[in-house]
Amino acid sequence: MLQYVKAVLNFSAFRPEADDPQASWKNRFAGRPTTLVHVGRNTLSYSLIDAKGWDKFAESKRGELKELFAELGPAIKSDTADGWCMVSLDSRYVISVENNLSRKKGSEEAIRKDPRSVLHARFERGKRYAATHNPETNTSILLAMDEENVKKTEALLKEHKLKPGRICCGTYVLLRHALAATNAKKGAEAPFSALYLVCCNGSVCALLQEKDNWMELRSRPDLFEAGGDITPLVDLLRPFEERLGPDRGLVVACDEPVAGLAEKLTELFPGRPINDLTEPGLLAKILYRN
Amino acid sequence: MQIIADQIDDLKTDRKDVMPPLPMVFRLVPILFYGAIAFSLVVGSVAFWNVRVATQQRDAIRQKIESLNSEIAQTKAARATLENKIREAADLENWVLASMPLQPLVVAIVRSMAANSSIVELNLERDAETPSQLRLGLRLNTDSDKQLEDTLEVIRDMHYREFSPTQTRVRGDLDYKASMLWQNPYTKGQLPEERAQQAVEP
Repeated sequence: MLQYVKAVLNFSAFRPEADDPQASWKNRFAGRPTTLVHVGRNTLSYSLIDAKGWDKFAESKRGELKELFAELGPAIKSDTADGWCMVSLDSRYVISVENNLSRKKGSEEAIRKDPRSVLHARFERGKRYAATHNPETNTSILLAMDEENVKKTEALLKEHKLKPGRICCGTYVLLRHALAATNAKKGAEAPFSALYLVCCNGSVCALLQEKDNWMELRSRPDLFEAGGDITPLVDLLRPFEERLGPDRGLVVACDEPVAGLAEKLTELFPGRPINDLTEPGLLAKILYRN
Repeated sequence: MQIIADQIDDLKTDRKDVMPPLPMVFRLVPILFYGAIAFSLVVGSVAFWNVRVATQQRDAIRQKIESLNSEIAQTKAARATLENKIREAADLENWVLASMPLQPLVVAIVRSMAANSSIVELNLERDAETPSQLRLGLRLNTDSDKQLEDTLEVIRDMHYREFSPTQTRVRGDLDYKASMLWQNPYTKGQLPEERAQQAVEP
């Protein structure tokens, strides 16, 4: 009882709680520094997000996750407000295009809490889901994250006194961002076609949209090393070379600029316009804003 | 087509006791609370200040009352002194005024002294019970009783009649005491008692 009175008197009861998924990160941590932690299969990197929401890349390391957390955990904690951080899981997930998913009212919320009621036969035990429906067709983009991966990450964070305020899949978030940025007009009067390419900390997702239809999606976690060779990325895109219709452009959204990507894309898709949404700290900005 | 991506899909394990923030309108509660505290502090400070000022004023008034009381006491004492002096002055005045009719008598007694006689002591007393009478006490340094006779003669000329006289000689001085009664020359030598009797009898 006393804590509620205290919360009312210091006005914290009128602010969302730090791990309230309904509230934006900006509202939850206004004026407080936090971090964005990228957790890959064998990589751990983090960026500092200051009180004004500006992102600053701090450090990235490869190795065993447990050892990486032990090494970077104290540094992350010291740079955050009470150890609160947001986590982008870049491994052990699957992004796919599905047809005829239930679109009942509140289904996007229900897929988190009771995915079986939405996915029916597609439901797999031990997964956590998120879905984005195409409003013009019966297709949906479905994210299936390994639940054990989430719990293991939560346990590692807790072990190092870090508190996850939000755990998401960075690739999926960037894909939604790219789709929202280019599909802003309601209705089917101006159908949009493009090849979406999303990169997040070495994970890649490519989605082919043809006149608002999501035709094909290819997603690979931990496909390439950030700052390293991007040939695997180019190989993943190569099948789209023939399938991408004439005069169709590319929409690129990467969490950080990828060296040499623009040249490779120009080489692979000559003469195609490239709408590059990439900017430094893009994922951190999106996560902070929403 | 419109895709809205204003919310992030959160995959973390939800805490079950997450409470939504209270509505903004309820901010009035702590605001009023702090306002009431601030108001109480202001009012309390003003009251405290007023109490302090009132206490200072009360002490000042008490000090003023004490000083005035002491001033009143001093004034009363001065007044009492003045009244005593006035009383003494009035007594003196009364004495002077009362003794004024006797001055011719005293002058006559003094002038009656011969060359070889002197007055050692002269008392003239008027008794409060019998104010019509004068008690004469006269001590003379003289060789004979002739001086006393002369002096008594002078006294009689001043229309005083002596009675119950006593005469003694102490260490060479003649001590004479007598009661004297003034006779009004216009009442044909009647005593007051005789005049009173005449007034009663038709």
